[in-house]
Amino acid sequence: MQTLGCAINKLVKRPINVTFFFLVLCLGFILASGQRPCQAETLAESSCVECHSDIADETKGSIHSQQAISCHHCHGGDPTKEDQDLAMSPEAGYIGVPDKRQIAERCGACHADVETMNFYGIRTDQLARYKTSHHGKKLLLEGDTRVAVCSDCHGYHTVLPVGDPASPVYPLNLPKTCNKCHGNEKLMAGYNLPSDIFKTYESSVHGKALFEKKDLSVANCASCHGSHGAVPPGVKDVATTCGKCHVNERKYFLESVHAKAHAEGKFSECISCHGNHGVQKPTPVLYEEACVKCHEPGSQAAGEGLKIHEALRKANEEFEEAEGLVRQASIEGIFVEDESALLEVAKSDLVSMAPLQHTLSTEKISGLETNISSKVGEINASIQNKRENLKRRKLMLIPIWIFVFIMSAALLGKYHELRHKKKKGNG
Amino acid sequence: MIKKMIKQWFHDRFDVEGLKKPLEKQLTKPLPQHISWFHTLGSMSLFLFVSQVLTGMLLLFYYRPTVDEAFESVKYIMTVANKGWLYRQIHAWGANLMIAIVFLHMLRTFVTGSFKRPRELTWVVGVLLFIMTCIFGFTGYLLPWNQLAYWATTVGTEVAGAVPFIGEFTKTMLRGGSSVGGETLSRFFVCHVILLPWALFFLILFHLFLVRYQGMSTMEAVGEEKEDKDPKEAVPFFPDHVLKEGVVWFFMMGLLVTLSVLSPFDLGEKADPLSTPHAIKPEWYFLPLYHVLKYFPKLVGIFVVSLAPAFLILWPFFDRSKERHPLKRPISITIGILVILSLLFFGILGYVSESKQTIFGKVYEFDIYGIPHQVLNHPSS
Amino acid sequence: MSAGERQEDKISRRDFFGWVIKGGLLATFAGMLFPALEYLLPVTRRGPAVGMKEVARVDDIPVWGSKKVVLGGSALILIRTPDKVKAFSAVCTHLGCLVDWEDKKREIICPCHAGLFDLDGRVISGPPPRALPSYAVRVVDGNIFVEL
Repeated sequence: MQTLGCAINKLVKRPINVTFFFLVLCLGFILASGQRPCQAETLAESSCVECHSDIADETKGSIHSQQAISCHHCHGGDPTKEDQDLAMSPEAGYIGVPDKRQIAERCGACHADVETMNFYGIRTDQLARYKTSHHGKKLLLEGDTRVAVCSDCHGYHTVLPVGDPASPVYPLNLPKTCNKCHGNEKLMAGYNLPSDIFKTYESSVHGKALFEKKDLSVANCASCHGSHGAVPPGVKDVATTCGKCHVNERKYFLESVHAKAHAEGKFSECISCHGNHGVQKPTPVLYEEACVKCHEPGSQAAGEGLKIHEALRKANEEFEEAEGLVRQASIEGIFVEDESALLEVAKSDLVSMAPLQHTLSTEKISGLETNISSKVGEINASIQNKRENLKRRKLMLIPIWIFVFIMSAALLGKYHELRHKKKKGNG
Repeated sequence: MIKKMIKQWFHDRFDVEGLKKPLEKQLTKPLPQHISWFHTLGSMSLFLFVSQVLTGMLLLFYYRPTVDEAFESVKYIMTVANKGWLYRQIHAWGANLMIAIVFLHMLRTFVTGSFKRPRELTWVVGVLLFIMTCIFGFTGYLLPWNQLAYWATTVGTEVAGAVPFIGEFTKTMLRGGSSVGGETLSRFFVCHVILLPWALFFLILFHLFLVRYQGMSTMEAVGEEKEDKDPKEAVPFFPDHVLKEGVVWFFMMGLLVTLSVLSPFDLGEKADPLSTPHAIKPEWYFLPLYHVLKYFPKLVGIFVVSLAPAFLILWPFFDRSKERHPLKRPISITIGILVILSLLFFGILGYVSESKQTIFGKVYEFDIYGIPHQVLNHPSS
Repeated sequence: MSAGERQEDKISRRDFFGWVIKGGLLATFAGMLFPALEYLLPVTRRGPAVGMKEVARVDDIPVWGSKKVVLGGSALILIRTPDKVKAFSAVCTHLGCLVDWEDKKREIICPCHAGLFDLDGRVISGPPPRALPSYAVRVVDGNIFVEL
């Protein structure tokens, strides 16, 4: 009762602050279970700080210290006891530095508890997922302590929210965080895993978008492998993984002839042509390189690929030509609003060719190519017409000047005639 | 029959003969012997003024003087309205030619010494006309509301702001606010289409009246003009001389259309007060003054530059020698030549300053004072 | 040759120049007048493309339907809801494809990379980095005006 009164007391005294309200409620739950006395909940009042002030400083700014989660929640012990031995006795639940297995459990004690996490709006399946991950299986089933556990990725005393740019699991930092272990050649050799994936990823289209353009929505390690439930996607799951973002590419792929081969496990969707960690911005050249990995060069299938390649190349070339023409015309001082609008339509077709080519349907692709061709033709004709108009204006100058000369001749003729007559009249 | 009736109608009401006589006398007034093609520069200026008024009126049918609509409406004139492009180009080229030709007309008057007694007032009015033509150009340049115009106006009005005591006031008056915006456009528009045209019209009328009333100047020294020559031998203004003017007018018309077709003015981009283009320069006719301003601290520069029109206006009162023939007045002609050369010199410096030019295959970068610096390792060299 | 004949010859020559000059002047005035009249002839019902511009009629678009129009060199998509008409740039903010209206889902969809936008042009899902720019619309007497 006293504890509840304490909580209510705090509530009434302060203006209603949502975080605070959650905090108090949360405390209420913990206290109601009879584990912790109310007055020892803040770090300042904890006896741990007397000796470990350096660590206390470290935790300042961490999400846990903001929420008044202090030392004993992870390390055990009783911070209300002034006496060092009593406070850090095994009877008080003191465990010292938790080992990896304990870390998973300790973190899970709160983070896997729906009632506790409910008010923070944080999911609670991390521990469950961790247990399904290769990391979790190695640690919990085989006792392998070299694998990653919560603190290896999130940090410990300085845990920050995932959305904090300084957090090691912030999208920009995540690949480096994974690379702490997965870039360690010695460590990875023990698991028969490559240690150069970070480098490969860094130079991939995803890596460049992440590190150069700071595009946070781009695929990082966790996007494909999962985070807490980290496993490499199997042959069948790759498409699902890529398809999360590349929706249309996947949709069209399923219409292609390769979809059946994929279902039979003979063909790895996406990866067979694009690769995985080192995926590059695809160019039509892929048709020359990727098809022949399975198909005989010169075979009908490889020929189909080359046909698509040709259609894509042609469409690109035509579009660029038209784009250049419109730009040139606008430099010449011709107004090109209508042509720019047409160019926009052609561009739309050109861009939509990229996902559509996953159907590997020559018919559909050359259909789009014909569309682009006709738009480009319209643009050409329209600009040509405008240029002709300008030329006609120039040609009009010829009769104008002939007229000017005729008039000048007549006027001068008249002038001299008048002068002549006058002189004669005088003479 | 009808002609007669109309004549009679007027005769009954007005003293037609009384009005006709002085008019006829003015029209057929004989011109001095030395009248050459150079003497058509004045009527060329008049021709251009009329052309500007006519094309200007046509442009006004579609032009809308607001920040949102000015650029779009000029674009509309150039693209949609029939022959709109022609009228806009003739108006733009006409403005440039008018300034050049009014200047040449002034130069001719200077060289032949026609400004001397008793025609000082004609010269003063003429200089005012020239200055107003330049203001015409300045106000008209802003109206399409494109980037170049916007920034040239910003810089131009900034210059006015440097005048001591009244500078800030003048600048605010010109801009109608603290920066160039919708108010400025309205002000410039009103000046360009109402105030200046009428002012110029009446000044031209006065100028022409003086010219006709006092007669054309001869080349004889002041006070030694010969009395009226034999009227039978002299060239009368009408119809003889007018025929010559006609030739010039037709050439001007051809020239305007040709320039409009072969070398049209770009509309450029719409004015954007947030992005200043590199190296903003005024129109070519302000370039010499603009460049000279760079050499002086702001205040001194304004003083020096404003001396120029003052000197020009007061010139007949400085140069009071009696000779008119250029070869007989070496000092004033030398001064004239020096002024022209320096205008050309500073104009060219102003033109090349802050730009990159290729001369004999070498690329030079000109700094703000127009001093060339050769660019080494330029990709094109 | 008699003096009279010479005189006549002269008159006809003078007349020749006179006629050319008169005809030429007439031609000049006509040449200036007619293009000017042609210029003043209204070319379109709308006049200069400024301010609100008429792009379509409400009847052209069914309720919950859409229409793409070109305005100022770029495509716009008009969407009619039961109580008003909305206008967005039809150019996807991702790679510049033209978006479509999906009337069943009541979403704007970019066919190229499955970018989805809601009825306010905001991104719902997919790769587009920004919302579609929207334009002010007014409907007067069944005519749709869009402000660029």
